[in-house]
Amino acid sequence: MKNFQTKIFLAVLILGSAIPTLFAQEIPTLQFMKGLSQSDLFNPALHNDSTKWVVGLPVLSGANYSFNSDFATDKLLHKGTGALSDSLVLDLEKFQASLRSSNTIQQQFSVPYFYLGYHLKKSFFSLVISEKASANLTFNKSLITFLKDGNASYIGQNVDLGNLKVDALQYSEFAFCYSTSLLKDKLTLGLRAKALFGKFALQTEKMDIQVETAPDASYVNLKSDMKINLSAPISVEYDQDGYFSAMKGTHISGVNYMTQTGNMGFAIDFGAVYKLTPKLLLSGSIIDLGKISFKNSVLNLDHSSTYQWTGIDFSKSIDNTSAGYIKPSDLIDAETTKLKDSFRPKNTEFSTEPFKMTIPTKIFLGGTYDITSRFNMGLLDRLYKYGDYSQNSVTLSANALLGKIFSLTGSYSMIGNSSTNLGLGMALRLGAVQIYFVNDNVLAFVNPSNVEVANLRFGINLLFSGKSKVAVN
Amino acid sequence: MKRFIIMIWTVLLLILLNSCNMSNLDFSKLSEEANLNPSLVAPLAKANITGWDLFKSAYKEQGSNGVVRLVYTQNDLIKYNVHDLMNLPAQQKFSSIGKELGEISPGDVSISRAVSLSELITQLGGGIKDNEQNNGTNAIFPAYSYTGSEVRFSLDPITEYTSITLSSGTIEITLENKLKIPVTIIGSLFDTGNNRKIMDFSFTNILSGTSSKESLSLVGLQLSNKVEFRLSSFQTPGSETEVPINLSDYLKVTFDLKNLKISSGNVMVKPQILEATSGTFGFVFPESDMKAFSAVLKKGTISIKTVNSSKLNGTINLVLNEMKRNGAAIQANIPLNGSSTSIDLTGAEINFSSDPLNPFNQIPYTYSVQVDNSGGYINFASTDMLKMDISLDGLDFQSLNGDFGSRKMQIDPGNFVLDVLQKLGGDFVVANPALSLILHNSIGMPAEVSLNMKASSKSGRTGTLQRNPGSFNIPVPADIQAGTATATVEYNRQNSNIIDFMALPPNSTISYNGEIDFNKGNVVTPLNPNFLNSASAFSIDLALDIPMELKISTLSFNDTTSITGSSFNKVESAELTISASNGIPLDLDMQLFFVDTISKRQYGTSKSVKILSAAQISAAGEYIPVQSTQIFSLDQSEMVNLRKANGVVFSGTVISPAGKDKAVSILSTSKIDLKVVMKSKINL
Repeated sequence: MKNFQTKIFLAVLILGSAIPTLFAQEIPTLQFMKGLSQSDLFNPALHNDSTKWVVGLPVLSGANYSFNSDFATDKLLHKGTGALSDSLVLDLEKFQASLRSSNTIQQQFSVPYFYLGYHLKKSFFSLVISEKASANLTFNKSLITFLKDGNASYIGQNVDLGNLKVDALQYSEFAFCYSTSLLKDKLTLGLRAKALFGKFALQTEKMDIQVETAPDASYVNLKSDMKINLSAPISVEYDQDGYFSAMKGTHISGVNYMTQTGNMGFAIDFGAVYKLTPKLLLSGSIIDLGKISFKNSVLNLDHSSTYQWTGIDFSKSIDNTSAGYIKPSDLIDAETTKLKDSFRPKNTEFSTEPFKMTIPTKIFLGGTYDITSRFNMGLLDRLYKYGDYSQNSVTLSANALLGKIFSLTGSYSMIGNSSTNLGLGMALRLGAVQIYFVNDNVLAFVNPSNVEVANLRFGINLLFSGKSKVAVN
Repeated sequence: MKRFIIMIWTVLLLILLNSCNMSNLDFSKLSEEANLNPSLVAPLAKANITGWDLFKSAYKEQGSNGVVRLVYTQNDLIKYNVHDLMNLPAQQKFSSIGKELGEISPGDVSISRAVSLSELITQLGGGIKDNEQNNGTNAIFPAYSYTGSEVRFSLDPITEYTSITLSSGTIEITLENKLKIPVTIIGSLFDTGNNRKIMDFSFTNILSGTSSKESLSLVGLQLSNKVEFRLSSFQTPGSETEVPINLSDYLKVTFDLKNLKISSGNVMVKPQILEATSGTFGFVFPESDMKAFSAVLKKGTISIKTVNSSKLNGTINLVLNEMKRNGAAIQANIPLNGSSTSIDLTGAEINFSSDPLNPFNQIPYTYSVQVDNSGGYINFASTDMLKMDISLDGLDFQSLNGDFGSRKMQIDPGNFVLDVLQKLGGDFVVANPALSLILHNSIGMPAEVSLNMKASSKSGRTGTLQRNPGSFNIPVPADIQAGTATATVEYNRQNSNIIDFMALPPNSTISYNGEIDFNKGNVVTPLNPNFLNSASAFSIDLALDIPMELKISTLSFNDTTSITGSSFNKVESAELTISASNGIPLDLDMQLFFVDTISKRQYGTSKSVKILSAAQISAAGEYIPVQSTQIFSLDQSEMVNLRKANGVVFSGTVISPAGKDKAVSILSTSKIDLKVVMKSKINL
């Protein structure tokens, strides 16, 4: 009892100095890390810790941030030379050279509100409430090339600048998990059902931009075709001609915003773990298979436009004494207005149709081989899919449990096209309080501008059981 | 072991956290310079312009042959109205016209006296008394002769006057014999008032029942109204037979004073009209050589007031026969009591030339004096004066006819501006310019105009426009009803040096001065008068016709456009590709000058580039458009100068491949089709 009270006291003391994360996004390095409960984030059937009770505290139990990009930041921004050696310069040349044909920047963020997990004999139950957000930006290399080089290199061509895609999502997740062991504990199956409540969504179905320059440069055609869905507390204003003029936020209290339930969705996690041999463990799972239907505060924009620039016709601006004289400034103003009106949406192009948005789905396949009872090697393949974007990563990990209190994992990951990711995970258990830190790319701490992958999970678990037990998988 | 692990854990954490290098993500150090230099190609401008569009002038026209013409007009380059040419008087006061009243007439006077036989017997006595006893019987009337002292027979007093002095008149004495015997009498009329005999008279052998008259002049006689008949001799031969003797038979003497004209006296004036008098007013004009033949007044009044020194009452009837209103001569009845009479002269027509001896500036008049009944005896003298003060006021002449005299007027110096020429320079000649002076004249006064026009070029050369002949006459309307006469005087290549004049070329301003000589060598008569009306004016409009038929060696023009140089800060270099189809047979080179319009400083220039290549001319003279593509580039150093400037001077040089020997016509329909594509390198 005294031990128990001491563990509680330490837990509260540490809480003020740390931001623990229980249920943030997955980091592959974490999946086979010994003694850490968060392994079930990747697979609801995988439990690397068998503590009876696991409690997570609201907000203080941690937030997770994950950044993935097809290019390192320093390809775009880096220290200059000479007089600019202390400044950051925008280097579009280097940036463009580092790009692939299609490039994505991805960010994810989550904040847990509540967690409760309970091991009962061969079963495991958990209830999790968390707030999640993700954002994706996808663009083609041709867009950057065009910005860098201009259209001088594309005379006589119709340049497709690709489909610029911006997706963003924020939702609350209410997840209930159940797993059980079968076949004499050789097989463990897990299922997590999630009720999703959407808060904000920006979905780009298409945003296609083309620029055509005539062979004799007598005209430049700009074409755009976009279809965007938005769910947010905003309203659109139009001018007297029916053109879009402004977008304004509608007043909604923070509480109402965060507790809105009009945009509901559903997702499931499914996982299985099979002990093939006493030393060989196989695992597979599908995480976040689901979508959200946005029906509240919805705004759709379906807009196509074409604008042809043929130069200002000064035929009537030569002789300012003639009756039909037009001032050159008026010509320019008229052309500017025409350009704006070509790309400014009209009220007829807006609608309020509900739309569905999928949440990022992950598929994990992997396994571990025990070298010793306290040291194993793991191999994990993860497929991340979000809309049209998909990314595969492979992680090789070495997982060790030093004594009963310290877990250490080192990993090497090829995440997407990034192959220089050395991960590190550490967990220190002090009684009922477990402090851990995991990331997939330690180099991101040394030089964050030079990496394509950066993530971090740092948190505190409160573990309560009659006897401390670390599951050795 | 446990402590060791905690220590390792802590150290690893601290190493990781402290090794984080965020300097490459410190956005506060983000430089404004970006390594971004796209090259953009886009059409910049285009224009389909014609020869007509090339000229920024409100004065351009299309000639019948399609050539663009600049026709500068200036109405009323010179304008003078009537009041600028001469002063017309608004008021005239005539000296009092005084006149002696002259004689008046008291009317004819008639007095008579019948002397009966009885009275004769009583007054004469002697043998005639024998008839007294034969009264009522027939008897022989004895012969008788009386020559004793005068026998007086009184007459009734004359009521027409108390005393008069006659300037003319006659007395007719009539003897009527009602006696039965012929008589011969000698008598006299005696003025008892003045106690003197007026006149003697005699009647010889007046037979019974007959009468006889005798007339005598009364000129110069003074008479009172008391006269009597005195008989100084009576003779009768009697009757040879018996005659009825009646003592009531009589002799009657009647004195008729006729056509009396009194020069003075105390008379009872009867209504009569005194002798009419006439004369002329001399109208005085400020210009001493002004001779008016006739005029019509737009407005005015005549005021007349009498000054009467006599006791007569009545009115003066003044007639201005040569001043008519609505066809009727101006008449006025002016009372002799001194009150004034005014007559409106609006629309009055005045004939100043009725006097053949003095056929100008004269207004004749006549007047008569209507004398009213005096109502009693008044003293009168023919020397009493009657005067009239006459004033013409508020005169405004509708028209005037006459000899306005010779006069010279200087044309006020002035100038007119040719806007297009302000921006032109170089060596070029307009092949066929013409300057027209359109003369408008409604003043009936011939005049000769000498007009000098001068101009100077930007380089300081001066020139004077000269014409042969140098001076010209203004048109004159046929008559006052003919309105305005118009004529055009042209300066062209045949009669002037206008080609050389326009070839200066003028630096946009042409100045002028001159002189107008009115009635020079003109003989003015009433049949060929000068005339004007109140709205008459003389004006000269100017029209300078510059057809764009040019013989060009070089023609330069400059046009300045304001810019904001900082707008080009991001442009490293620019290249303009100018594609043109030129339908005008002229080359055009263009160079840009980057200037500060305030300090007049020039920062730099671009290269001179041929923008347009001249159209070809077929054998039939048709223009064949020529297509050309030229590149006008601004390199980095030129862009630096452009950024400093707030103005760009477009300096163009037009060159004719045909040279200065052949004229090139710029047709209004000739086309220039221009497209400009810009390729620029942007430095963001």
